[in-house]
Amino acid sequence: MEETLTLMEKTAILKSAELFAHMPTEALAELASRSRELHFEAGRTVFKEGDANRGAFLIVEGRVEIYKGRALDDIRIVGQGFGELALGEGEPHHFTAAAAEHTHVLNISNETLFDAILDFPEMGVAMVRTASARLTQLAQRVHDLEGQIAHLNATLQRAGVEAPTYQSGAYPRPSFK
Amino acid sequence: MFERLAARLQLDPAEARRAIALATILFGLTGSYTLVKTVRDALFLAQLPATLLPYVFLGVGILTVLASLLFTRVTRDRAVWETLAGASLVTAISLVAFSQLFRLQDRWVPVAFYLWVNVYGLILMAQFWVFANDLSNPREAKRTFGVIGVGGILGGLVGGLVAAPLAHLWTLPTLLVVGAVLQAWAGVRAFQLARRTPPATAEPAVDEGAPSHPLRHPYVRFLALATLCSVMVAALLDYQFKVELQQRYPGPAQLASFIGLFYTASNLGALALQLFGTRWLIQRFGAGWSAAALPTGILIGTAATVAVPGFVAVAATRLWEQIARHSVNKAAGELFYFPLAPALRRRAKGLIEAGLERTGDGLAGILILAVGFLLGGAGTRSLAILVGALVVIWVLAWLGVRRGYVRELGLNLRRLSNDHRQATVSLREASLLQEMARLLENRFERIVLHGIAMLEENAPEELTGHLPALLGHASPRVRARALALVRAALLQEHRVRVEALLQDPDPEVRVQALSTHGALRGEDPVEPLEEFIESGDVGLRQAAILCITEFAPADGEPRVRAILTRLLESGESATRTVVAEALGRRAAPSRLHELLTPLLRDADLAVRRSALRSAGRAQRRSDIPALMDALGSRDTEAAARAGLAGFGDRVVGTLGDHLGDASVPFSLRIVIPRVLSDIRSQEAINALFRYNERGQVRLAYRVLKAANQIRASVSGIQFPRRRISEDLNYDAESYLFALVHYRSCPIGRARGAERLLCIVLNERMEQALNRVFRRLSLLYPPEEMLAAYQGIVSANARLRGNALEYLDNALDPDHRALVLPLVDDTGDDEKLRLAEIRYGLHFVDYDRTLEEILQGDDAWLRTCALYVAGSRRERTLLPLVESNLSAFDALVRETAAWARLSIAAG
Repeated sequence: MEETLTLMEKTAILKSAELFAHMPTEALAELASRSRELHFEAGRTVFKEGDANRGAFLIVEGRVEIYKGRALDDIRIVGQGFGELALGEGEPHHFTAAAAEHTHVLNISNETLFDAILDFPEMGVAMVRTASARLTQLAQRVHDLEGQIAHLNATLQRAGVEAPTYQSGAYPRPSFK
Repeated sequence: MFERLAARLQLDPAEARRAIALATILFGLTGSYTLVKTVRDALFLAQLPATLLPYVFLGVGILTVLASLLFTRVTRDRAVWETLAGASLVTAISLVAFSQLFRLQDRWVPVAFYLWVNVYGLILMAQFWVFANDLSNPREAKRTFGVIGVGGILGGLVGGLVAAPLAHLWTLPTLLVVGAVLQAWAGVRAFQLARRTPPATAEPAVDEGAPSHPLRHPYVRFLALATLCSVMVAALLDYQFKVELQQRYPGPAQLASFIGLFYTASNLGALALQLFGTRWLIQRFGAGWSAAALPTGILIGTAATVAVPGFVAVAATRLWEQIARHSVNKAAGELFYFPLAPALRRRAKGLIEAGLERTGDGLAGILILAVGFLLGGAGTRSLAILVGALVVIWVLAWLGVRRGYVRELGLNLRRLSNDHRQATVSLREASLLQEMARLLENRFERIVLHGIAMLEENAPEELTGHLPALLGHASPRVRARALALVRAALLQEHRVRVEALLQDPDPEVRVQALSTHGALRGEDPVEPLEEFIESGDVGLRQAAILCITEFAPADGEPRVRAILTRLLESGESATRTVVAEALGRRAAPSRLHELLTPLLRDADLAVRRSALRSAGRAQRRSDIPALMDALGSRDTEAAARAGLAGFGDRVVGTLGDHLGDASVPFSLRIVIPRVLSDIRSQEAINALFRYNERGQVRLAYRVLKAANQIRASVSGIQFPRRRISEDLNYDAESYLFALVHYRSCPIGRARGAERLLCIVLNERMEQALNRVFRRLSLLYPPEEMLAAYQGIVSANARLRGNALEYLDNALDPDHRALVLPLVDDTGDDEKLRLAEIRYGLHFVDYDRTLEEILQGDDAWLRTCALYVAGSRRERTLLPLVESNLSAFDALVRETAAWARLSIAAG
């Protein structure tokens, strides 16, 4: 797909993203010059769980659904990024990303991202902040789910039904199709 | 109304509210104290001779020390406000009690009362100022202590004014009840204020490394000496004054009237000075010089007393002493305590104000008695000479305080910044060395190797004693490493052990042993190692190649060259990489280094990187172009940097030329400052300062950062002051330029061009400020400047206040004038006024802003302005857009071309 954004537009888009908000704009222009524009129609997969890592994606337009197996894990909208935390060298994507509608993204390779972090440590700090915020969200979700399970177990017990035991990995989720 | 008052006092409303509340407390305290002092002096002088005063001074000295110790012990775990409020209430009760005791008409009562008034007065005043310090920071104190001081002076004035009429109306002891009421009221106000305002302190409660006793701190010693002299002088002047007074006015009512009048006059004078002079003096000359006003005036008065002894000269000197002490000297003197860490400050203040001040009274008493004993009477002239001598010591101590003030401010700032990354720890400290040595006894190979590396870097001599154990270590890698250490230092005492290791079961240890054995015996190491070159064991082959290349004697070079050439021709990249590394170990000059040149452009990246690093050791000038080419590539940048740094000053000229040449690719120029910072020499600094393209903000920043790194790691480097001052001026202008246009630029929609320009202008302000402090740290203590920068950008008011106070005192006048207005609390409007006055910068309209940016020298700002011009399709800007089509910066050219197309399409 052809490039539709100017370098300055890409820079402005990157600056508006939380991940890059703390980076100097001049450095973002450099990052923007090395980014790629990609377009996905509704239902098309950006990458699948297990695919080779393709770096960070920033949504310019549209909406992307994040799946873990078949389960919908998150929905990312304009200005949000995805894929950026899978930074291990040669490590595959741990989840699947699919366009929920026509989606326009900026893609920055891991190598470019690494170079940017080395040049601008502020970016590394921003990424840690984002990761920390997501971890907090996840911890809250786990806490809520545990509360729900405890409540369900208590209800079952009151009804005289023995609560089922759950073993990690005993109920694998079906893979994404 | 209140806001208007705050604005008039140039304070923000919260500061003004706090200052006025503190001023009312001080009003109550000093009002009560002045009233009580009038009663004290009148009753004492009416019932007892003034010549008894030296003994009373002595008693006051002893009693105050004891009372201070007791007071400190009792209030140790109490908050400052609790101490102040509690002491006020106790004092009020004691005054009522004394009003009843005076009815006894006993001669011991005036003496006891004199002692008690001096003791409690001092403790209460000290507590009040500790309380005020706790609620403020130095910058706020500079603005508010003047206002607070006015409260105190007004209290003294009112106390003095009401004393005389009330003395005629009621009995003197009845006045004490009035004083008690005022005192109790002040205590209640302190309680109310403390409940409303949490202490502003954000300082750590524990003072790491603070001396256990305040007087062990040199700065506190100078403060204590200055205070001691000041108090002794005050006591001597007081004595002179009272002797003259008693001769002039014999009756209690006359005495009370005159004393009341005197206190009124002195407080009026202090009020006038406080209102119209103190703040101006402190802000204009700083606390240090302002504090000199009091001793200077006393010295003049003393000279007059020596020349014309008598009531007029004595009273005038005492009047000035009272005026200056309670106005400018009080406000300036309080600032001297701010640089001290909180706990030390509290202890020092307690010791000096509650202990030393009355010790000074006691010492003054002894001096008066001694002069009387030696000269057969303490005459006015002889006491004036004594005062003069004490003032000289006082001035010398004050000079010590003044010098220490800036230093202590810097230290305090660093402590407040709490930046442990800046802490420098000597790794050669005995306990740390012991810990490193203990690593060598660990059973894990990696820990032992780590311990060896640490000791080798920090204290290589410590390793010698551990070598026998290391040579017999269970790990082959540790044994091999120990052999390398023996070889490097040619330690003949290990020869037998090395010979034994020739039979070691591990091949790499055998190679190292062979090499070491040859080196210790001075033999050719090549021959015994040659067989290992062909070994299938990669580690062994690598060790052999490295050993042969590094240790072969000069006459063995042709044979080594043949071996290496054969290895290079084998075509294996791993082997070529090792050869490239080995060549880097060979000391220059050596013909073997000729083999490096083709490796610098090898097809394999690992080989190239290894060769580039080795080129630094080889020092062949002909390799520099290849190194410079590699420096511009991300893949080889780090290796080329290491290689070029190895050339040291020999390559600085070339690097400087490339850095300053705009035709050199930017990707190469941007890396050069880092290479120069790795070289760390005066020549490197000179090369960095040859660069003068201020518009290339990113590159200019890298240059500055490199200079900072050299400054931090090497001492004795000279920096061009004039050039730095010019750059500071440029940065100040850049800051104000960005501020002027940022303040008025439209925010625009999210991701829009206007929003981006706004963000960039804001970034430029932050960057300019950062550059200002980086430049200052080239001329001033770098760690303090870093702490000052952190303070300035901090949201913590105390940290910010300390930073401003430090800058105000540490910077030279020209730098102070340039930098302080950018960071002071004057607000944006004042800065905009400064931009207009200093640089003629002002906002007209947005189009004019775009025009100014498009004509400026900042390439990135121009790019953003072109983006706005193109987005808005501003036809009026077309000529300026077109003028940027031929700009040197590629991004500016591209954006100008896009903007022109966009405008044409519109």
